[in-house]
Amino acid sequence: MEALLRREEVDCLDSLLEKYRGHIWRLAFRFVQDADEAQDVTQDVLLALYQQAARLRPETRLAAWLTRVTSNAALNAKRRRTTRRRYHLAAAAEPRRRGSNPDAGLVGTGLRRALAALPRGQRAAVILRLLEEKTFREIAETFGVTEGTVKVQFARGLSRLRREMAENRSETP
Amino acid sequence: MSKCREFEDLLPLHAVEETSLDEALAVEEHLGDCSDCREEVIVLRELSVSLRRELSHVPPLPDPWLADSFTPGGIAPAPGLAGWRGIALAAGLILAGILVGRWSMPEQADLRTPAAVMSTAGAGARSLVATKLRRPPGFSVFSPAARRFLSEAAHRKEGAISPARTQP
Repeated sequence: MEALLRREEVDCLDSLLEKYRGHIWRLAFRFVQDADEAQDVTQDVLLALYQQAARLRPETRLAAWLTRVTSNAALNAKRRRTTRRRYHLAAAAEPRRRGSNPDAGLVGTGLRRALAALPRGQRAAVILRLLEEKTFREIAETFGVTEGTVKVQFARGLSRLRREMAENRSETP
Repeated sequence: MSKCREFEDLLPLHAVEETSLDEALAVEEHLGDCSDCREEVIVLRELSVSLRRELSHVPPLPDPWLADSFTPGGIAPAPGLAGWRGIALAAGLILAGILVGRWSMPEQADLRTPAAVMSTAGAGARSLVATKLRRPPGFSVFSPAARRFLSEAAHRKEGAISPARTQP
């Protein structure tokens, strides 16, 4: 634990959380595209860090570990979203809540929907490469897979998004 | 057409300039003969630009301790809380403050009020509890993950971070 804190140049666990809070939040939001849900994911990842910080191997690269944990937590957030929707039905008529993405454009909405429908690996590859601007090598190292695998996931994800968007456009009157 | 299939996975990579030199030369040669694939690359390139433009926006990280970040109709951290919400809130504040505060609380901390506990608890604990205060009615004060964490922390001895397993 001391080695981890020293390497991260912080003096306590709270400072460590403070250091990475923004990184976790940004990544979570990129995946879930919803402020409330991104907050939940951020909180779960901070909890995971609290619980596991002492057990991380000294050679663990914390930024990469957090990227993996946050990505997985965000990819698993779909189930929770379904539950929440039930509670928010009554509030559906209210104006859009503060903190949500202000972009209500059709293209943005369609892209968000199509992106959310991608299989996990494809979605992670597209988001991390295009929105987080990670290299394929970085993504591969983060998830412990080969660079070739990430490239294939990215290529198939982008192709699928294109098909989905084309179908959406043809369905729109 | 069968030739096009060979390039299926390369076209998206070519569109974002992620092909190797050999791959790029092969793709360009194919594009010279195939208008469908040429069109496909253009559309994929536009899509990647749209994705970046439309979905790159990330709002600032909400600070649960700023008063205006509490949503209207949510549970406000002000006097006047009554009933089970107030009880659950106070219990949650004290429990989280004491448990998580073990890592960051000064020796002589004043623990007489929830506010005092929260002022000495770590940022993580404050964030955890405050986030849960913003839940709409119908949600429990803590998420399952938070409850599990707090339950494990309750069994923890002398502030060690590795969680103790509860007996089955």
